Parts: sequence; C-alpha cells; structure tokens
Amino acid sequence: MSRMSAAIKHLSVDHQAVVRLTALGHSCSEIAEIVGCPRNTVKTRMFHARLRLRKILGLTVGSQTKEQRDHV
Amino acid sequence: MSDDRVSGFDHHRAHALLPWWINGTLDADERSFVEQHLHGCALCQDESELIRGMNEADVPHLETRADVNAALTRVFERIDQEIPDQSVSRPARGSNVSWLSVAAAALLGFGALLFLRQAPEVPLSTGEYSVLTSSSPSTNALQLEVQFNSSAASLVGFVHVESKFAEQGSITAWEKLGDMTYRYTLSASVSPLAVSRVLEQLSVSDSVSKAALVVE
Repeated sequence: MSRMSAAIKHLSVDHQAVVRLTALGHSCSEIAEIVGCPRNTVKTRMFHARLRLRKILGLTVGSQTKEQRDHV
Repeated sequence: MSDDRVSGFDHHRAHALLPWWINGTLDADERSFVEQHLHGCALCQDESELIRGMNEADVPHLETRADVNAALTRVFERIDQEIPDQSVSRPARGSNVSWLSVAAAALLGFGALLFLRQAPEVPLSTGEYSVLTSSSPSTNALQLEVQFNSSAASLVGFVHVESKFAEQGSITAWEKLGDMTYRYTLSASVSPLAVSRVLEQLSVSDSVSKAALVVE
C-alpha cells in the first residue's frame, strides 16, 4: 500500500468519506446529499482532509517535488 | 475591493473546487474558472498533484477494512483502562449521578431499539431490559443488520458503523446480504446498550433506511 493510501486511512471518518466519494467521481453536490451536509461543508472537509494529508505525508504547500509526488 | 483581494478570493474559490475539477464533475462555468486560474497559480497546480495522488491511492475497498484483531485489541485496552477507574471509590453523590447517567442512556437506547427493531427479531422483554442496564457483557452474540439508502450511502455508512464499533466494541464478522444491506456479527463483549447507541446514531442519518438488532 502506498504512503498516500496509508495516510488516507488515518483521516477522520467524515474526511475519508468526502475523499473517497470524490475519488469515486461524485460531484460536490452529490456528496453533500449522500453524507447529509451542506455543499460548503463538503468543501471544508475536503480542504481540511488535504491539509491533514499534507501534514501526515510531510508535504508543505507548494513544496512538493516531483520525486515526492512520485513516491507518494 | 482591491485586485489582491479579488485574486485572493479567486484563489480560494478555485482551490476549493480543484477536487471536483479533477474528477470532472464541475459545471462548465466552474470548470472554465478553475482552468483559467490554474494557468497562473503554482500553488493550485501543486495542489492538483496532491489530489490526483489521493484519487489514485490504492485504498482497499471499504468492505475489507474491518480489522477485527485490531478492533479487539483496542477494545481490550479500553476495558483495561476503564475498569480500574470505575473500581476507584467515588463520593456518594458522584456515584448517584453516574448511575443516573447510565440509566438515562439505557432508557434512550431502549427507545431507539423500540423505534428501529424488526419486531420478530428483537423481542423486548423485561429480561432484555435488565441486560441493557447491566454492566456485565451479554453472553449471546449480537447481530446488527443495516440497510442503506443507496450504494454510495452504504459506502459512507459502512465506515460509520465500523468506526462506531471500533470505539464501542467489535465486529467479529460481517456479511453482505444485498447491494445495500449488511449484517454485522458483534463480539459477545459488546453490550446491547452499546449497540442501541449506535442504532440511535444511525437512525438520525439520512443514509440509513433500516437498522435492526438481531439477538440469536
């Protein structure tokens, strides 16, 4: 399993749900309907999920090298 | 409004929309907006790489995520931590308050059971009520059947059920009864009260159309 996969499993349930449903190809509105929250909440959860993943993976914003991306 | 504030607003808006630009579900206006912004924003380009990595991550299907051994280990650790605390003598008033809290929670859970149970599967008797208020674990394995509203909802719901029982007990086995219906077999150490609390939480979720406790 890649580092990214392992990192995703460390996210909270709410954050994982948004990340996984997005990866499955659901729109923001569809995810809002599925998880029962406003569209903006979906965006907020996705935002915090990305921040958390960066922290877990040790990536700072804008500093991701190609090697790091490939490794992840 | 200054140009900086306008561009800052645009950046935040585009940044928030990136995951759905990448999965191709934005409408034409939003897609055009994000693409225009991406052209000149290195931060969003970098973020796009992260999101692509998230989407391509080889995360096992949720149905394979139930790690029973890990859940059991967590439960036993919590039991070990909590039992000594409960055995420490407390002031009489504190004990009364604690007992009342448990009784109130039991009544709440009992109400949830009444609301959610499938009649032939959960005969609510006086004896069962006494189990709800008992601190000793049930000797019978419990089964929880959950029917979700849609396949997508079941995806989210499965994570929720798994998470709840990771906190409160353990799933020893699960079975997919249909596209959207699952049956979870719970460890004998899980009390009906803990299950009723999870049922109560599921009942307020729009993702679940039916949830029932089965006592064999």
